[in-house]
Amino acid sequence: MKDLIRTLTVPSGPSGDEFAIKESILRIVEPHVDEWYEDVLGNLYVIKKARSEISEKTVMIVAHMDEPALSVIDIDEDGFLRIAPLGPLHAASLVGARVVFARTGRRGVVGAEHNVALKDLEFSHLFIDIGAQTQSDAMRDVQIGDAATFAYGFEEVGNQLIVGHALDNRVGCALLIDALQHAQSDYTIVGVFSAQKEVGSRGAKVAGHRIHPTIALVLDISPSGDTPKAERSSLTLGAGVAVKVLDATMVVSKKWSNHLIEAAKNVSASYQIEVAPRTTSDAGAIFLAQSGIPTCGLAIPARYVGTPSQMVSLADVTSAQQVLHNFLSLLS
Amino acid sequence: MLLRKLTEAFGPSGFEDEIRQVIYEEVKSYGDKIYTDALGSLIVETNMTARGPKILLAAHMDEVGFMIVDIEDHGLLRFRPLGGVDPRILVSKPVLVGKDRIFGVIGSKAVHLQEPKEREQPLELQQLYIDIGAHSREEAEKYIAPGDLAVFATKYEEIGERRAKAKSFDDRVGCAVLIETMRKKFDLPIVYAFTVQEETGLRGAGPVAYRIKPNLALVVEGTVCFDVVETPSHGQSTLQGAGPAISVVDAKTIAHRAFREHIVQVGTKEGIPVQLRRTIGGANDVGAIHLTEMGIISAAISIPTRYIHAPSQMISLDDYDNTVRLLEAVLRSIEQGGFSA
Amino acid sequence: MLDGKQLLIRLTETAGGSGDESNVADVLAAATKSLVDQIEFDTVGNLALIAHGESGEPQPRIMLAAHIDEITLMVAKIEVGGFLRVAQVGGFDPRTLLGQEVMVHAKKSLIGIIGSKPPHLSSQEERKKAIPLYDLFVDLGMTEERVRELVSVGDRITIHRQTMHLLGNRMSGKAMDNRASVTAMAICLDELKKLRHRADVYAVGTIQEEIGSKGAQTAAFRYMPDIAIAIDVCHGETPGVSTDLAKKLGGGPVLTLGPRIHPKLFYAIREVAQQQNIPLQIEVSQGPTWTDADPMQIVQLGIPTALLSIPLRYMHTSVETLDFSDVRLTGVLLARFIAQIDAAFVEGLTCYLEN
Repeated sequence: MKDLIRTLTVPSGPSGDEFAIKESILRIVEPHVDEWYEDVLGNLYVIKKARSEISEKTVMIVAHMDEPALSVIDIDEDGFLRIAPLGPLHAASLVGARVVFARTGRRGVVGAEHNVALKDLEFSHLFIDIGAQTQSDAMRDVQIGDAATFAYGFEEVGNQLIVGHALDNRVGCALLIDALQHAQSDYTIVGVFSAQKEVGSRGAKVAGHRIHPTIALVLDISPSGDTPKAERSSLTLGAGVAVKVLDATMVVSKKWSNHLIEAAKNVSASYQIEVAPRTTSDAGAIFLAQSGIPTCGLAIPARYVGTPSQMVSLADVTSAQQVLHNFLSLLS
Repeated sequence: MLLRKLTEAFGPSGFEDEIRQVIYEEVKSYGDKIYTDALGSLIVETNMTARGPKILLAAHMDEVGFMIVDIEDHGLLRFRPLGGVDPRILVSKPVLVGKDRIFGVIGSKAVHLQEPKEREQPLELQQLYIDIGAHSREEAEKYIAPGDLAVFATKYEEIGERRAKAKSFDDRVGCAVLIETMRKKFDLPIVYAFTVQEETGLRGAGPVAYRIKPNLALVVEGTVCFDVVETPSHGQSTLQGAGPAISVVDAKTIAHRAFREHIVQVGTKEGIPVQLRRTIGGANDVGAIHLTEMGIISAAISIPTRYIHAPSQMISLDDYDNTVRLLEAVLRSIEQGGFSA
Repeated sequence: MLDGKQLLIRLTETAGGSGDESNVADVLAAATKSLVDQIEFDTVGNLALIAHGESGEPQPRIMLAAHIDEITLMVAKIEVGGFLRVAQVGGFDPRTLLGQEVMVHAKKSLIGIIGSKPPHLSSQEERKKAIPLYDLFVDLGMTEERVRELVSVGDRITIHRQTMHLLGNRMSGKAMDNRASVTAMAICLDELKKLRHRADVYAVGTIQEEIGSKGAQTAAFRYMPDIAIAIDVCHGETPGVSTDLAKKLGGGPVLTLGPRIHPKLFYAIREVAQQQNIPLQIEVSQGPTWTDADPMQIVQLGIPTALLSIPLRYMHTSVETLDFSDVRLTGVLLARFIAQIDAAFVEGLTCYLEN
């Protein structure tokens, strides 16, 4: 799993421009699935038929593949790029960040106007410097509407911990790929690598409508509360996968959170409960599709969400893997 | 004069009766099937048996306005905005109120009577009222009831060099572009929709898209433009006179890349000036349309509008003409198979 | 005949937070099963009470939506000492929670107190500030060990409150928002038994209104009615509140006019109230109504939607107060309106043009 996650953190996947990460995912999953297609929003759907033909039921597993990004809204005469955020990013935390443009691979650094205090910094004070001399020089590699994401490597720290800029949510993508490769179910599995989650679960909304599954399960990251003066969360790195009970978009029906807890018990995996009133996920948008879709979720606890250095425990990934496989095998 | 007729008509969000009827009179001889839906959007179907992708062209006919919510003892009217209006611009503007469209003025305590400190503060809604000249609550009640509507009383006039000012260019200018386009013949199934309630949350467009299920959708809008003194390039959004603006990203949509690039290419090829909209603030009906059902390929073409949502909005008539030309050119390109869904 | 007050007490004293409404649904289903032809639970937990119209031509379909969920808290973390930190499911005013008794729905039902620092120990500065939810905690009066045995993160916490009769027809308790409307819906079904109606009625107890009107949206998609009416509470008159934002307790049902309401439905319901001598108050709205009406209006092709409300003081607290006469009259008005609906009326709802 570690290598799979590492591979998935390399491509840039700005919301609305997920082609690079999508291509990487597709290359890995294509041999393992019966069918795949894309849609207008940029979602990637992969289908793995049920192990028997008896059931017409489907489980839709959703992992968003996009990450927050900086969208270019203007290019000035000296070749500096003015930007606006796609997804939850904070202006003050971006100064000095290294970024890469998904489309051309062009790299740059985020700079800020000097006359503003750090705490008052807004996106209108920021720009990206790609080392261009003039507007026309810049426009060879970057157009208005292009998007850049963080450009930082993948590292292992301490025991079983990994750090990367897009673990939110490439870890979820890795878990979905793993399930498509190895899990067995009497339900047809529709894997959705969803687009545009960071701008409001737009991909998930249309995916829910298109697939209208019997049950949906969302794989995502949830911030842990185990660092000094962290925002409150009962989640701890290394204490197991988190079964979603509540997030900012969704309250999960007890029936389905209990199924996941049972699955954890079946495989003796450690687990925790996610109550995260300020964390968003695709779950809420899927739940609302058509006449309503029972939706549940598994979350991987992570530190430093929203920064270039997100930290996750591989032990939690393993626990998630086991719980997901068992959950899928028991659907009938 | 189409722009005058449309911009001077009354039609706050959710109460579009007058503007809907005005548009209906303009379009009734063009559509094969003309009807309204449950929310009141006006839908005109043309050429539905033609081959080629089904296209939805949409412009919203509602405008920002006001609702009377209470009448004071001395006959002054309390009001609240319908849609996003900056309360700082309201004081001392004339409005048309109620079913009889009587004049009213938005008043507040005279500056002479305010403390020096008060004068530095913007006026809040609670300090403002509409004065229709009534002497008492009883007299006002003869003309107005809570729930009645008001809009800015602004005349359409052409000013300066090829500019026009009016209320509600957002989005009567889009309605005008659709009406002009409807008068041309295209070998495509095209549905023209004049949607309701855009200003109160993109409400009308979603049900229209659900009904029509188009292969492609194009929204024509009046969009924010602030190319004025002391505004840096990245604060302008659009330039007036530089042609229709194509949306890239806004608060509700990341534009479909291939479709927006196609529109720019068509403009370039036909020698029509085109610009990109350079801000992510604001939203239009595409936000609802592109997420309908399984997702719909959509784009927005906008006429830069200075002082949008204010009593006197300004557009360039060249931008208007170029938008009409661009929309025709895009439809011709689709007609010839230049872009398929 | 349905005992409305008794039903309201049973409903308000039942716990049913957003996403966990089944107990309330069961109470409602039991109280109304003799009044309807069919009872249906959908896959996400909405409860539909279905009363068919007189057979004949195609029936207009009308959906009533009264949300059955209430605002609650949820255990977010168990702290050292066994104190519980909470998250909210729906919008409490945290200032009203101080010193409040609550019920924690753990392995057993446990009564707890939302603790607060006594004035003796608070500084002048502290006393000037409202305490945010983040700083509140629930005290169960147990050792941490025992708490961890019984309580899990994710357990629900509801207000511990018995519903009270105040003077006259006034009543007070938790979750009057929106069990008052649920009761009105049951009264409507009871009234409909005595009337002839052509329309098929889908009276839906909707889920998860307090966290974004979710059940009403999915139920409207499922039943795709010709007309939808949301029933909810609105603010009752209290000193210092603008008259357009609050209505009189005991002044009758409140009918909303605004962009999210179909104008012809508004006028038709108002006319029925006039005919039937039912007092009616009018509320004007300029955008969101923050009720089930909002999402229902734009489901699929769009649904003509109306909103009836019951005035309620102290909304989102443990002492929500109303006048039962408003509840009863809301049910009666709904039934009388439904009895007048026919296919021609429904057809007229999409006609906005004058030819």
